[in-house]
Amino acid sequence: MLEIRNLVSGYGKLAIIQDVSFKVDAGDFVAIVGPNGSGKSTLVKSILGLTNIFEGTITFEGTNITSWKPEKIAKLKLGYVPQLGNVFPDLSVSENLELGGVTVRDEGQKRKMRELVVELFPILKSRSGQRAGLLSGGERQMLAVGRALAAEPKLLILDEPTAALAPIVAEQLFQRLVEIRQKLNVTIILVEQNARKALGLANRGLVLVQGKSAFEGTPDQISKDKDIIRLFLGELAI
Amino acid sequence: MLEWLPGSILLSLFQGSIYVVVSLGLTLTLAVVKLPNFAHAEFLTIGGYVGVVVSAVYPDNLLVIGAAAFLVCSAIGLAIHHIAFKPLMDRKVSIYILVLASFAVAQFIRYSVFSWASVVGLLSATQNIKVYSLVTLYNTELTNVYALAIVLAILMSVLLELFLKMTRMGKSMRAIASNFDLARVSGINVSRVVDVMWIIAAGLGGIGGMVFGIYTTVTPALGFSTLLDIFAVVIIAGLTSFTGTIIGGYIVGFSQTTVMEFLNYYFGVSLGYQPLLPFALIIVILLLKPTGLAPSSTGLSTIRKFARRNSSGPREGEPPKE
Amino acid sequence: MFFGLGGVVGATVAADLLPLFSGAAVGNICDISSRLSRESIALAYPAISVSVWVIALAFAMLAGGIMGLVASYPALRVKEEWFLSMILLVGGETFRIVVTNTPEIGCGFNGLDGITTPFYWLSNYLPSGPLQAEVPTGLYAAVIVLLAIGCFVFAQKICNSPYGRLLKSVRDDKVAAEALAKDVSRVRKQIMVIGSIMAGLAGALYVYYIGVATPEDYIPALTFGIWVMMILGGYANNRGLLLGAFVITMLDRGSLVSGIALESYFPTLNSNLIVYGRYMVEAVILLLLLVFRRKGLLPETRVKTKAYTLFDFGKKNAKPSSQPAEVPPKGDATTG
Ligand SMILES: Nc1ncnc2c1ncn2[C@@H]1O[C@H](COP(=O)(O)OP(=O)(O)OP(=O)(O)O)[C@@H](O)[C@H]1O
Ligand SMILES: [Mg+2]
Repeated sequence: MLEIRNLVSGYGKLAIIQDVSFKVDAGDFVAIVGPNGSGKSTLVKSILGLTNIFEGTITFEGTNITSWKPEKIAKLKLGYVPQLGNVFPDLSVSENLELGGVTVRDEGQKRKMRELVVELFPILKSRSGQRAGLLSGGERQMLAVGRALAAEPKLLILDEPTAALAPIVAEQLFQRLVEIRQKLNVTIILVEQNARKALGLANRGLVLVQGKSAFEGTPDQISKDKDIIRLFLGELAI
Repeated sequence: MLEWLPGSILLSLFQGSIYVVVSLGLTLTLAVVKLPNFAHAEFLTIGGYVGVVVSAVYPDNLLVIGAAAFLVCSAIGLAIHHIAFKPLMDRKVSIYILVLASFAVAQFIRYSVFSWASVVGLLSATQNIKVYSLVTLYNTELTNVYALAIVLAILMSVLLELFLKMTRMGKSMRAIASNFDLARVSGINVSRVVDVMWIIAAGLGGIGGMVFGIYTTVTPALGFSTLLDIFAVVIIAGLTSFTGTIIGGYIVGFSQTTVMEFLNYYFGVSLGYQPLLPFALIIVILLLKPTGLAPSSTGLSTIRKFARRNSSGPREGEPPKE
Repeated sequence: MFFGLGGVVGATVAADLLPLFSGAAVGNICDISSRLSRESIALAYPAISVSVWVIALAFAMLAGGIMGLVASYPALRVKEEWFLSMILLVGGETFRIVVTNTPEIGCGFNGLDGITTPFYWLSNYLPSGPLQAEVPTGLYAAVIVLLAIGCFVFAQKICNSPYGRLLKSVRDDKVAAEALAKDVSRVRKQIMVIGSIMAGLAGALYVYYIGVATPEDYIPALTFGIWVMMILGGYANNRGLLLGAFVITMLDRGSLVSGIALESYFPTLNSNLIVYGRYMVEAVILLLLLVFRRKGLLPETRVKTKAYTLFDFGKKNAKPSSQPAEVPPKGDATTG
């Protein structure tokens, strides 16, 4: 479904991602883990066209989308929850959801997606008139995920959606992700600090260190690789 | 002893209404593309001259003249965006460079108008629109121009509000203003929305200039002479608040007319110092309360305040220069 | 603003002191008669004429410096970069409006004229003819060139001194400079004062050259020309500024000359167009530069301090490590 080959990308003239390759198949749940500043966010931003790509190619469903504009990539049905600024703070909750679905042409389909979103996150319904900037942290993350879902995505990319959430709220959000994946059959890429949790949910994992792919494989393989654990994930992670 | 007061208040209302119409466009530019466009006041000049030219053919036909002013300025706004600002913004240059560029654009437009006006002999021109009194109250005539400006300010504010809140395009525009990158990855057609933004912003400047030009003599420096007043309005408004812009427009209108005449009447201050009051407002607000006087409806002010308290360093999320 | 202030102050001082020193009545300096008496005094007393000139320059520099200090308070306290341009624009316009509307300052709207060059008296000793007018002006122009060279050398010295390196670091990375315990706002204030002293000097020199000080001379289009000079040559670069000033002045003079030439061929041509055209060309040059060559024609060079020469000794191409301003703003360190 998504294939990244020998990607070198970054900001301005500065390369952050150094020669990373990986493949995501339809139905996968891929976890990307790694230390702070290792380039996880930069990697997923590259998929969405938010970085400068210096070398390599990105193909989505057979289309080469390398260096496309973000607004064009979005039309291919990719949903994205950024790490920072993941909602429109000055717009109301319902407007956020509406704009999440601008790429969906069919009105009926659009309504269906929104119903599904409020079914998953009932709190959004009671807050629908409120400005997103005034939501609590947890509510905002739910809105961010809901907004990305409103685009009816085939591939959902989430960048640390549970950062700064209480463990119990984070757990709920993870449960929703599992539900979403089953119900809608979307492919998911999840960037997560909590490596143990992420690898527990995923069926494939990628460990990113200093802009390079340090390890790629099934969660089991990663969990068993003593070097990776010791060097990059820390004893506590497993 | 207060004979001058009703007339002065009416004049303030008129002046303020013009400022509101023109400044709404600048506020839109600041909010959506984050550009302090120092060329914005030139739309006022162009609107005024379109009024002169079109009213020579269609005298007193306000609809045709107004539409022409709007359309011509929209076209010019689109042109300067695509020729000057867009190439720079695509390169992610700093705001300082954009400000310089907008000065260059302003100067180019201003002296193009000067050249044209000097060739056709219109360095100082009037529009062919009859001004007449509608009613007289307290010895003060409410003329059709005053009424037109005030109605226009209300109408434009309401239309803009409806557009931004009710239409898909308007919501997209607010989304871009609120979070540019997220708007792009959501699939909003940013360049089309920005084009529409320029059409509206420049058009508002033009239509404001056209109405102003009924009241006053149109010269190529008309826009430049109001540039700092318009910036005073948006600075009072905290740069991105539309309600603030409406309030700010009337504050500047009153400070220039009623307050100034008051100072002149009681303290003998020369009316030549008229522009200094808005200047003082600019300096004081920039220094003491850069978020403006109006209550911000965007919530941005709290974030900014917070950021300011925490650091004097570069703003977060700003792309590195060069 | 500082330029204009220097001009007005210089002219006022000159107008007040000339009669005072020569024992004539001071009277109203805005009168036509006072103008004539200024000219005759300048013609009759060489010593007074030159010393008044020097004093006028000194006052202009002082006024520029004080104004720079005053202006640096708001200018350094603004929160966003572009607010500074706003404040300077407001300052310039305030100056123009105050001078225009206050007859007590520089004779208001009409301006102050009859300010002859300090070498006007030379014409007494010259045979009548074109030379009589040209020699004093030419001599004065030569003095201006000398002073300009002086300022340039001074600016070069500053930029290549350790202080210049501090300036660059303050500009490029305020936080880092602050972290190194440098008083950023003091440095900025100092440099603003130095800059405005120079501008005041230039203003007074200019007034003495053209002979009048009127507020209408200080319209933003002129300031704009100076910006173009800076960006054209490469901003933050004294040598570049020279090149820029040269090109813009050529444009200025060129437009005058071509204007005269064009007028003689097409008598119907509107002479205003030449002036307007020049401003338009300047705007286009600036836009093109901003889009295509933001660093200017001559890019910024390294700070040449003693340390640099020491490090460079023996190995021409080695990068010295003691260049805070040369380290790329972000990156290398974090990715390495
Ligand atoms: N907009 C930007 N411009 C320049 N450099 C950036 C930008 N964003 C991130 N970087 C740099 O890129 C590197 C990788 O950042 P990135 O955000 O991808 O890390 P991350 O793995 O997502 O970290 P975290 O776990 O903290 O979110 C960092 O060194 C960072 O300083
Ligand atoms: Mg990240």
